[in-house]
Amino acid sequence: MDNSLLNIFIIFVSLIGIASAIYVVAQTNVFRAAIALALSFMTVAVVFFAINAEFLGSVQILVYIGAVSVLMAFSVLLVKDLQTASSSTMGIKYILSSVTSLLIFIVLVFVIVGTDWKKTHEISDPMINEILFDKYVIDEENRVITTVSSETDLDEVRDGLINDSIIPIGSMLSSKYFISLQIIGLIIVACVIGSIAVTKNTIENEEEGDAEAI
Amino acid sequence: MTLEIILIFSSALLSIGIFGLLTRKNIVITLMSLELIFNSVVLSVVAFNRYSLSSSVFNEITVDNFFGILSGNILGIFIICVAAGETALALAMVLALGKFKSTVELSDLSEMKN
Amino acid sequence: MFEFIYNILDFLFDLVIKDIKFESYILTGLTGIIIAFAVINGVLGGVLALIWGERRLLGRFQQRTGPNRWGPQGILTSTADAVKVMFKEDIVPEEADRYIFNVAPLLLVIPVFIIFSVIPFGISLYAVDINVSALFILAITSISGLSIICAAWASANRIAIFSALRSVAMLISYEIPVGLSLVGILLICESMSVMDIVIYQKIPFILIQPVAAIVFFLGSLAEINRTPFDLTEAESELAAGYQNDYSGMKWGLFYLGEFAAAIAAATVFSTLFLGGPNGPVLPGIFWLTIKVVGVLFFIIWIRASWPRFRIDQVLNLAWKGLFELTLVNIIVTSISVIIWTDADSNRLIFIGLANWIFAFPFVLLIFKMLKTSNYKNENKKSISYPIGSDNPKFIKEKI
Repeated sequence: MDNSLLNIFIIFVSLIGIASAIYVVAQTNVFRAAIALALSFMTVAVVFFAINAEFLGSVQILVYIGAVSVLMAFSVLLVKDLQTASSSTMGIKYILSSVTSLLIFIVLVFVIVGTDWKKTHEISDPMINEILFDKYVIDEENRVITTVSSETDLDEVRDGLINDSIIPIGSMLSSKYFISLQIIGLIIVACVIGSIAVTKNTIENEEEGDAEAI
Repeated sequence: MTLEIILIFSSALLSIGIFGLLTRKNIVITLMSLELIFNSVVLSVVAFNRYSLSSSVFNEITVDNFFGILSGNILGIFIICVAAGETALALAMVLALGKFKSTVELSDLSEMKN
Repeated sequence: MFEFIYNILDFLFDLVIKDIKFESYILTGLTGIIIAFAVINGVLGGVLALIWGERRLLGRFQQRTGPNRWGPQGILTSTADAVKVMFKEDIVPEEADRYIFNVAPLLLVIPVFIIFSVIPFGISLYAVDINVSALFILAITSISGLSIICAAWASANRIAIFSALRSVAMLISYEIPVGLSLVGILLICESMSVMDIVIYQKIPFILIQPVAAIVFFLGSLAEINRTPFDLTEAESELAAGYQNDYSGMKWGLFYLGEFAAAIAAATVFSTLFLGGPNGPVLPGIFWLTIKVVGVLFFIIWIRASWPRFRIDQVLNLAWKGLFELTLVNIIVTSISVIIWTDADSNRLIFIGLANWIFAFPFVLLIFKMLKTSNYKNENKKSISYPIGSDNPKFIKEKI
């Protein structure tokens, strides 16, 4: 097979990710669960780097491990009651939810293994496959894309869209999905203002001695 | 084959996240399970974009729609941004809640019952 | 460099053994191990040299000789330090969380070495060439916030938790100006890859984007917890902050991670802003070493001369000072990139002139605005009073 080394690597990384996810869900010590969650995020980022989605992998590390995990750990430190979670006893809720999630997993695995992924979404145009991996040239005046398979000395030959995966992302974000980008900015501003507004009263009600320590 | 392995990983994360969401009483661990579910969704979207692409997405490849080939990554960026913002807001509410109530367990916090 | 070592190994393997089944996999693995070994050992050697160099230089700045006892001129001081640290007793406090206590130094040290895999040391001497290297470097440096919280939590010590909270607040605040200051460079180079940035620098970018260079330098100093931003360790005040309960080799790992982070910050600055391995006569790696040593001298000089900032001064500088400077830089650079497009051959000079004329006065303006005046009695509602001020709470009654 062409990429059997990649498959073995992804299987290995997935096992680590699944193990740390089970640790998150089953652990009573909340802080250790936060660290295991950071490890699970890291394995997902490694899989992103292996699929040639490097921009998304870097964003995953930056946002999830650098900010979200730190936020979870912060909130464990600052709120006293959160620090020990009670372990759930063997009630009816435990059995029902584990059966539900196992059923979801089994059904999904059957669907995934059962479909023939090559036939349903076949890359029927051989030009897409060439553009993804071989060199291509864009001719702006005649509005034509050609693939260059032999070594000619053109100045503008790019190495295949997968190797320079930032170019399609940038050009689509600034032309076709521009409105979505602005709306995401507004959503984040709303989240920031909302979190400041929610925690504002708790800071004003404290004594001055408490705030001096931090 | 690679696509199937990544999709099995993603569905495993999804089912573990659903289990954690339904079972745990602590707020922060519930939020962590929600983050696992978001992660599995992003992973499957990017895997589908990379490994199965049909040309019926573009009727013909012109210069205008040429760069839409990696649009799964863009959807992943949007999901990550929204999930992170929402987590920050939820944790701010947990912080505010911790000052006023004595417990932060989900089963003791239901005020609208009965 | 990858193909070079791969071909050498292939040749050697063909001499000894013919036709193993998974030959290409074995050769790929061996090449990766050799490259990683070389890079990491180079950085560790640099850390040993930096430990000696910093203590000697601090001594000379303070008009005394530094350590000169072990070896000629004290060169073996860092070896003696390492031996001492290795033989100390390894204490784990009783209330500490054992596994997180052990994991925290590793989380600080490992990301620093990952940065060096992306930096070019010469014309074709690099380990990996990703096409989003600048963003990757920024992402990897943001993992160190997690290690500080782990160290503080595992120590179960009130002082450690306070210092860690302040340190993480400082770290997250300074990631934003550091990231945004690179946007000007990305606009000029039209690529996020560090290799492209190095190739594009006929004139070093510190002359073309002075505002971005200042912001990046100060932000990197804050990210590596160095003076004037070292309020977490604060070696004369808090006794070691979040590293309080560590001893033996774990503390040695913290110490090593700090110096390796200083080398990493100096290397990234000299690659992105000073031109990296570009230089006239000598091979590239010599020029990179000279530039890194120069930046490190500057960092140690700052440590010897500036006092320490307070936490509210630090956060004011991040959010009110450096963040606005980056926005000004982005506006000026994007307008000048549109005016002088790729067709001009002297494009860099024009963009640099526009930046110096329009963006640099804002630096002087903001540093004048951010000067804190002496504390007067007018601001009765401010939350933190320094000790020894006129606040009636701190004035003792004279009997």
